[in-house]
Amino acid sequence: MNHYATDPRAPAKRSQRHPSLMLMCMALAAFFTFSAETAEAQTGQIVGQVTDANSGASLGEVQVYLPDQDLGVLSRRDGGFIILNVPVGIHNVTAARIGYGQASQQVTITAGGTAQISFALSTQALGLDEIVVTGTAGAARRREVGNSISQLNPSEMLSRPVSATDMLQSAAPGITVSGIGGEIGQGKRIQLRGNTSVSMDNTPIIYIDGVRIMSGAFPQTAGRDYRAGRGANVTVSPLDAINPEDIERIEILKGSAATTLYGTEASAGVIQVFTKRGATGAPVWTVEMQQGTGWTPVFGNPCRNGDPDMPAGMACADNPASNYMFMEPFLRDGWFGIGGGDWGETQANGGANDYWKGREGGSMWTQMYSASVRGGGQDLQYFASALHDNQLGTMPNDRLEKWVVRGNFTFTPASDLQIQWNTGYTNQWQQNTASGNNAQGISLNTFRRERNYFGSGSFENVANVLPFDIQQRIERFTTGGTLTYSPLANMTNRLTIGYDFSQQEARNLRPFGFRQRPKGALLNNTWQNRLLTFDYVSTYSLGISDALRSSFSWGGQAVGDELREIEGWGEDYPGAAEPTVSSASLKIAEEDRQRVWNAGFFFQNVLDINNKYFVTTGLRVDGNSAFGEGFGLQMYPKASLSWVISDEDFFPESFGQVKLRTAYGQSGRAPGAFDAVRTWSPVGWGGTPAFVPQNVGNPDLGPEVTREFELGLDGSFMNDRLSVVYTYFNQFTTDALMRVTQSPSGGFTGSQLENVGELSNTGHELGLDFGLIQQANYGWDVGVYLTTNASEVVSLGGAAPFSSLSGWIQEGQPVPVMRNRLITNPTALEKPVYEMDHLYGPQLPTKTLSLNTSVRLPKGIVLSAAGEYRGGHLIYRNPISISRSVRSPLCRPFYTDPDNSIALADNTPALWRARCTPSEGGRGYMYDSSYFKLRNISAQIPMDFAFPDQFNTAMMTMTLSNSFLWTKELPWMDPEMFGNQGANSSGLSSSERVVSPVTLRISLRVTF
Amino acid sequence: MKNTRRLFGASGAVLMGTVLLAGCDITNPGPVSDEFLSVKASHAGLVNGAGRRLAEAVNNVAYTGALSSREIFPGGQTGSLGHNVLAQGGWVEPGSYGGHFNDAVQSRFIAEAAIKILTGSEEGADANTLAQAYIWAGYAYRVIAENWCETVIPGADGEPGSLQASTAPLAAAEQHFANAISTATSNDWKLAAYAGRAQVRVWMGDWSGAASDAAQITDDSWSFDLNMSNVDNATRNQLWFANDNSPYRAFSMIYTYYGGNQGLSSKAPTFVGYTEATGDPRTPVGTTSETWANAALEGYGQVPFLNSLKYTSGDDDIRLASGNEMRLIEAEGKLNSGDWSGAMTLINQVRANAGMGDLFTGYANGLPAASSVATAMSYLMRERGIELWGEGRRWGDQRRWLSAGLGGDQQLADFETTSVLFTTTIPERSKCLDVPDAERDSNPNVPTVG
Repeated sequence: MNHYATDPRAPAKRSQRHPSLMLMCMALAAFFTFSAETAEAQTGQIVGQVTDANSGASLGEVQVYLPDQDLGVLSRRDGGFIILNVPVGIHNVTAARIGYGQASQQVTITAGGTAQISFALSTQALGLDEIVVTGTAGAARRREVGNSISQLNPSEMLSRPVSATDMLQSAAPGITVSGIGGEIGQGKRIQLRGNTSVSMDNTPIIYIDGVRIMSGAFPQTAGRDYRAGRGANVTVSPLDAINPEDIERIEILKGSAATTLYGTEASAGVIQVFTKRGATGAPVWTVEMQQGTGWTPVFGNPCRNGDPDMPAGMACADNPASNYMFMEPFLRDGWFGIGGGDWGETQANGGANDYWKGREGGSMWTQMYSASVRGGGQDLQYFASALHDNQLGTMPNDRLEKWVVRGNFTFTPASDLQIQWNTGYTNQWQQNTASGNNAQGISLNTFRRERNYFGSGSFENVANVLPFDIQQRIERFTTGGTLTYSPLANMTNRLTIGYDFSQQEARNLRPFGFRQRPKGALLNNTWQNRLLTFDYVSTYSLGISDALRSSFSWGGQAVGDELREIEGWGEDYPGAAEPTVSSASLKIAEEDRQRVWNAGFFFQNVLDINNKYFVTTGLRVDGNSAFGEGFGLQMYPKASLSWVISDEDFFPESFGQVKLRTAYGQSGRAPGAFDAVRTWSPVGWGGTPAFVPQNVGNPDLGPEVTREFELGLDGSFMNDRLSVVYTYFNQFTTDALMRVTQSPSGGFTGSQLENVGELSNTGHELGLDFGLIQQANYGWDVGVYLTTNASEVVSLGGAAPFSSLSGWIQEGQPVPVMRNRLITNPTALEKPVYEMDHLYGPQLPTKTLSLNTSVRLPKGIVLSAAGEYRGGHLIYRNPISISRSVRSPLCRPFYTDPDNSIALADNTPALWRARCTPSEGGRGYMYDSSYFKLRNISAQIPMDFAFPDQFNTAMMTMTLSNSFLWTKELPWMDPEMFGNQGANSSGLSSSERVVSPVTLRISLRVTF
Repeated sequence: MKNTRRLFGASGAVLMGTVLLAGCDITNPGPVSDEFLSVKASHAGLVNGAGRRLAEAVNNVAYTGALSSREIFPGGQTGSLGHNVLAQGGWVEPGSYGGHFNDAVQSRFIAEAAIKILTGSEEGADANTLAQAYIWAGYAYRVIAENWCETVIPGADGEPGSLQASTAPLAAAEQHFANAISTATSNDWKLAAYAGRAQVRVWMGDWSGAASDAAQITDDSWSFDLNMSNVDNATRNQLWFANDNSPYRAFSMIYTYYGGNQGLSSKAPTFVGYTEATGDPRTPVGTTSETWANAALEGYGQVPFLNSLKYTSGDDDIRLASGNEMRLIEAEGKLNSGDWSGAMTLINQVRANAGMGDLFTGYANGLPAASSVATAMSYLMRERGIELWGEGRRWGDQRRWLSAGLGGDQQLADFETTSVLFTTTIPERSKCLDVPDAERDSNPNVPTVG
C-alpha cells in the first residue's frame, strides 16, 4: 500500500486554463499515480521556509520530504512550504536541491498541530561528496575522481534553453558547440577539446540514463541529381529531441584520461544526460507555456563591422548596403515587424500568385507547451512528461511540429534491489525551404541575383524554387532499465540494458511543372539507426584498515550499432497528380546496411587513504567487429590520483576546499565497418551485374589510440563564493587513422585507412564562478570560462598531406591547418601575385572565453547574460560565386558601374582584384575568424503575485538569444555557419545559407 | 559465503560473455570479397565492372576534352561536374582530374584481373566473356593513350610502375585485341576487337594494319557503344546532363569551331554555322525556352544558350567505335599514302550515310572539291570532328595531328581573344590530361612535379 499526500490546493478549475494539457497530464497522472487516500485522522502539518545559507535569499523548488512517510513537497519560490497530513510522532524532514548540501531536521507532530521548521541550505560550489557516475565504474564521490568531469544542472540555468544542445553552449570550459543556420530544426555540432581524429568522427558519444544513443546528427538528404545539396541541407541533432525540461543534469567527460572505461569509441569524449526522476512525496506538477518570435539579423552587409581592407577614404556610405543578401522578400520578420524580413508585405503585394499557395506569411512564431509530474512513495517513484512544440520559421516554407513524451520509474522491491526504467519518445515533423549550396535553392539563387540559375534575381523568378517540397519526419525512441543489486553491504552489481531507435523519413519532392525540373522528381529516404547497450559493472569494497579502503570494480560493456537506409527515387511524372515514387517513369531503389559491435571488459581499483587520497588504476580491453582480422584486442590503461588537500591539517580551514587531481588514460576510435576488409562493390551497369574494386583492405587495422594526461584542481574559496576549476590536458594520438592514398594505377583507386599518424593536442581550461555580491534581496554572480587549444599533426607516417576537416592535414601544422593561396602584393595596384599553398593557421579556435553574469534583484527578479569569444583561428568564406561573374556586395567599392557591371576600377588593389575578378577565381577570402557572440540575455520575473493560491511557483522567463555578433574581420556572414553537411560537417566551411535568427522567447512556468 | 561465490561466478559469466562478444565477427551485406569473384557465376559481373569503369572514364573525358578541344563553349557554370574556370578555358591544371585517371586505370585493372581469374578458373570460363575482358582491357589502354600525356602501368605482379610515354600502352592494347579476336566466338565481339585494334594502330602509325582491321567492319552503320544510364550519376551521360536545364546549362554550342568556314561565307565559321548551312543531322543544335546559359563568362557576359541535341537523355550511349569511323580511318590511311582521291571517296561515303551530299559535287553550299592531300586532310579533320562529336575523341585527334605536324590546333580566333579567360588567365590550352597528384604522391616511381 502506498500513501500519497494529496495537495488540497489542486482544484479542478485549473484544468480549465489549458484543457488539452490538463487532460494529458491527468492521463499521465492516472497512469503513474497510485491510490490517493484521504488523510488519516491523527495527523498534523509542517510549515516551513528554505533559504540560501550564504545570502539569506529564499530558495524555491527545494524538495522537502519525510523519508519514512512517503510525504514531500516542493518549496515555493518564496521558500515557503507546507506538508499536510503528517502522522503524529517524531519524524526526520529532509531538504534537498541540486547544487546545495542536503539538510535534515527532526520534528514532532501532534494531532491537529503545526510544526514549524526552517532550512538554510549551503551551496556546494565544490561538491566533493556529490555523486558522479559517468566514467567511474559505478557511482563515485567527486572527491575520489582524479580526472576532470563537468556537470551541468539545468535548474541553475537562468535562461530558458530550447534544446539540450543549447544547454551545452558556453556551459563549461572545453565544450565547443558550433553550427548555425536560418533553417528551422538545424542541429549543432558538439566538440570537446578539439580534434583527436582526422579521419573519423570527432563527435562525443552520448548516453541517456546509461543507454547509448546516436551521437551524430541525422543525415542530410538530397536528390540523386546532386547528392551534396539538392534539398534543404538540414541535419537534426538527436540531442534536440530531448525536452530540456526533462534533464536533471548532464555529465561531460572531455578526454581519454576520463573516458578510458568507455574504450574504443570514446576518444572524442562522453556526454551523459540524466533525466529527472520521481521523488518521494505528493505529485508535483510542472506546466510551462512558451511563446516566441524571431527575426534574421543583418548579414551580407560589408559595412557591418567595417572592413580593414577597404581603401583609404572610402566610407560605408559610399557602399550601398546589401542587407540580407537580397533575401528580405523571402524572410518572415518578428512580431511587430521587428527585423528586416518582409515576407508578409511581399505576400500582400504578391496577390494570388501560385508561390503563395499553402504558405503562411506574417512573423516567425514559436509555441511550446509542456507538462510534467513527479512523485512517489518509498518503494516506487515516477516521473512523466510531455511537450508539444510548434514553430513557424523565418524561411518561407519552414515549419516544425514536435511531440516529446518521457516516463520513468524507480522501483525498490527489496532493500538490496532497485529497478529503474526510462523511456522517451519523440516525433518531429518539419518542412524546410530548399537552401544552402543548391542550384534549386532559395539562398543561392537570391545571393547570385542575375547570375543565378534563372538569369534573374527578381522575386518572381527566385520564387520558382518554393514549390520544392522538403519534409522530414523524425522519430526517436529510447528505452532502458538499470537493475542495481547489492547482496552484500560492500558489494553492488549494476546491469543496464537499453535500446535506442532513430528514424528519419525524408521526402524531397520537386513536383511536376517545377521550373528547373519540369517532369518532377521525388526522393523518399528512410534512415534508421539502432543501438543496443549492455552494460554491467560490479564493485566490491573492502576495508583493509581504518585508514585504507579498496573498491575493486569489474564489468563489461557491449554496444551494437546498426544503420539501415532505404531509398526510393522517382523522376519524370506523367502529370500534376500527387506523386509517389511508384508513379514515376523512372524508379531507383537503394539499400544500405551496416552493423558494428564493440565489446569490452574492464577492471578498476580505487584505493581510498584517509578519505583524502584516492589512487585509481584500471584497464579496459576491447574488441570491435571493425578491427582487422589480424588485429586482436586493444588495451586501454588508466591511472589517476586525487588529493583533497584542504582536508590536511596544515590547510587553513578558512581558505576553503581544494582538491588536486591528476589522471592518465587511454581510449580509442574504431575504423568504419568496411575499412579493414578487402572488398569489391557490386554496382551494376545498365541492368547487368558489375563489380568494381572498393577497398584494398588492411587486416591489421585497429583503433586509433589517444593517450591523455591531465593535471588540475577543483577549489572553493571565500566561503564558497568563488569556485575555481582548472585543468591542463595533453593528448597524444598514436596509430591515428589516416586515409593513405593508394597508387591508383594499382587498381584500388580509393584511399585506405591505416594506423600511421600521430597527433597532439594540448590546452588549459579554467573556470571561475564568483559570487561578487550575495545579499538576501540582491546579488551579482559572474562566471568566466577560458579554454586554450593547440593541436599539431606530429606525423603522417609517410602519407602525403591531404585535405580533411575542412582544412589540410600536414605535418607540423594544426589539426587542421587552413591552406590556400596568399596574395603577396595585396595593396599594389597591379595583378595579384600568389604564393601557392600558403599555410595560414589553425581552423579551430585556439582561445575561447565564455562569460556569464547574473544580477538578482528584489522581488526575486533575476537578469542574466551569457556570451562567448572564440579566436586565434581562420576561416575561408565567400558565399558569392565570383567566378560566375556574380556582382559581389563586397566588391562594390571597386566596380566602375556597380549596379550593372563587374568591371573593376584601375586603382583596384591586388587583393581586391583577386577577390572580385572572375578569371582569378574569386580568391583571397581568408579571414581572421575571431568573433564574440552574445548567446543569451534573460530575465526571470516571479509571477507568484498573480497566482497567490494556485501554484507553488510561477515564473516568467524572457530570453533573447543570438542578438549580437562582433567579428574581427569577417564582413558578411556568421562565422559559425556550416556547409551543406550541417551538424555532420567535419569543420566550418563556406555556405550559401541564411544566418540563424535572433529569437525572443517568453515562457511561463508553474509548479504545483 | 556460498552466495558470494555464486555472485562472483555470475559476474564472471557476464564478463566471459562480453569477451566472447568482443571476439565475434560481423559480416555486413553489400560489398563482396575477392573469393566471391573466383566463382564462375561472378565472371560476367567482374568483366562488366571493367566495362562500367571504361564507360565512366569515356563519359568524363568526353566532357573535359570537349572544353579543351573547343567542341563546346563554356557557359560560366564553373563548378559543373568539377570544371573550374581554368578548365573551362581549356587548361587542365597538372595533377588534376584524378577521378578520370582512376576510372581509366581501374577499367584496365579490372579487365586484366578478370583475364587472370578467367584463364585460371578451374570451372572454366565462357569464351565470349573472356573476349570481353580482353576487349575492355584493350579499349582502356586506348583511352589512356589518347587522353593522357603520360601514364603509369604497374608491373605484372602489381608492383608500382613508372612514368611512361602516352604511347606505351598501345602495344598492350594491340595484344589484348588480338587475344579477343582469337578467343571470341561471337562475331559482334570480334568486330569490337577489330575496331579497337584499328583505332590503336592509327596511333601506332600502322596504317595498313589499321585499314586491314577497319575493313573487317563492312557495315558502316555498325557501332560499338558504351552503355550510359541515368540510373547512376557516374554513368549518366555527362554531356547531356551538363547541358540539360535541370538546372545546369553549363555549356553552349555557340562559338564552337569546325575547321574554318571552308566556303560557308554567309555563315559564321562555327559548328552552329555549319549546322544552319547544311542541316547535317550529325550536328543537331536546338534552342530552348532558356535564352542564356546559366551563368556568365568574363568578357562575354551571358552566353547565348544553344543546346546540342546529339544526346537528349542521360541514357544516351556513347560510341566507342563505329563503321563510319572505320571508313574515316581507311581514308586517313589513304591520305598517308598520298591517295587523296581515294580518301575523299571514303569521306563522302560517310557523309552520304548521313544523307549529306559529297564534297565533290553535291555540297549545297559550294564547298570546293579537294585536289590535294592537304585539302583532303583538312576535310578529314573536320569530318572526324563532326562524326565523333562528344565521343571523347577530338582531343586525342588534335594532339595526334599536332604531333604529326598536320595542324590540329583548330581554334577560333574570337574565341581566344574575347575573354581574358582564354588569353591571360590560362597558360595554354591543354592537349591532354596529366598523371594525377594521387598517383604522383603515392607512387615512389613517379615524380611529383607535373
